[in-house]
Amino acid sequence: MIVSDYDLRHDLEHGRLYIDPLYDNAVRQNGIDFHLGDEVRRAKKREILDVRSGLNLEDWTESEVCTSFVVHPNESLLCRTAEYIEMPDYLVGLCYLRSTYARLGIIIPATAVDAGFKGTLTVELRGCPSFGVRLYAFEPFMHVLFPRLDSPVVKLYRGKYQGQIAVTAPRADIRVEAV
Amino acid sequence: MLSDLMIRSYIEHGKLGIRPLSEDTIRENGVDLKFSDAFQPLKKTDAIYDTRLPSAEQNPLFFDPVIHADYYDLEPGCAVQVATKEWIDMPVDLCAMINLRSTYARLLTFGSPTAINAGWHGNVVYTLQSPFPHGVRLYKDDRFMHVLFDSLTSPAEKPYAEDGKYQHQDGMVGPRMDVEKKTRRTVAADAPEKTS
Repeated sequence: MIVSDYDLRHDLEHGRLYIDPLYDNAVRQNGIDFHLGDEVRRAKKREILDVRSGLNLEDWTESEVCTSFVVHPNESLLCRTAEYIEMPDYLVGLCYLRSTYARLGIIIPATAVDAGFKGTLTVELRGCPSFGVRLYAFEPFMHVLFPRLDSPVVKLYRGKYQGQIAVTAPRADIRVEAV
Repeated sequence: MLSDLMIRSYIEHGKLGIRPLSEDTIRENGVDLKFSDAFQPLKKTDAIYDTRLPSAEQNPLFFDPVIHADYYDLEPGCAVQVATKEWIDMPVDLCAMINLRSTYARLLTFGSPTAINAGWHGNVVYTLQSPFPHGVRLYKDDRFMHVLFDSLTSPAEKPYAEDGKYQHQDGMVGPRMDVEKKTRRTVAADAPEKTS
């Protein structure tokens, strides 16, 4: 079941679900609208990235702090939400691009927010193939649905992106075993 | 998530509307929606679509006119806005999630997954993109979209507004920016400090 506006407000008021800042009208019928943060990361290298190389993948992208930015045709970039979120142990978040932007050919690949996650959300945006689109920081761009889990999670998220605030580049899993 | 049985029950009790409802609409765990005969290509241009400009919904710089046809050839690396043949009436206690059907995903076409909110009514509009190096011919009345329905924990207190910018959208409706500006949140000034 997906948490309704009434129950989302209840969870927020009781601190079980924490979102900061919580914008006016962010709570919608069946989810919460998230806003674009003022930072993006674009790829700066065209080479093959070996995700097992142990290299710092932050080097692969560069950060740009901005009040607006253009997603160029067919470009993929990383952005973040203006909101910081702390997920309870009984919810998962499902991220959907708002319809207005989807109509412009922009895409957010399927993205989930795990139970127990804390931080801002780093999200991939893919540009429309036909034209560039200028987007503005602090505009609502993503709708997150919160389905309830069938039981509270036993092992909460404690992963490598826990506590992220800035747009966070991929962090490769360093494998000890020989490949 | 609603099963075929529950979807049928919602429709039979008049709580969920899907019109026209064909024999092949209701699937195991969702419904398949079809292309209408309306296709609106997104135009290739070096111009930048500025989302703060007044509504560019029908701006000829970015959108070609709507084409009504039995089929549409989506050229490689292009995008087209399509509308579903079906009109959907969402009840206040369901939410829906839209995905492209597997057949179209296997054709390497893609679009952004989106959600349909409780209390919304209209034809679903979706932007479909084709990859390189091949194009794809899209036929009206072919099933291309799969919609999952899930119950809300309680009926929405504030269902999708009667004056919402996509409420009762009939056929092709482009992105609407202007209405959004009127309701722009005022909290932006209180947003978090810049981080890097």
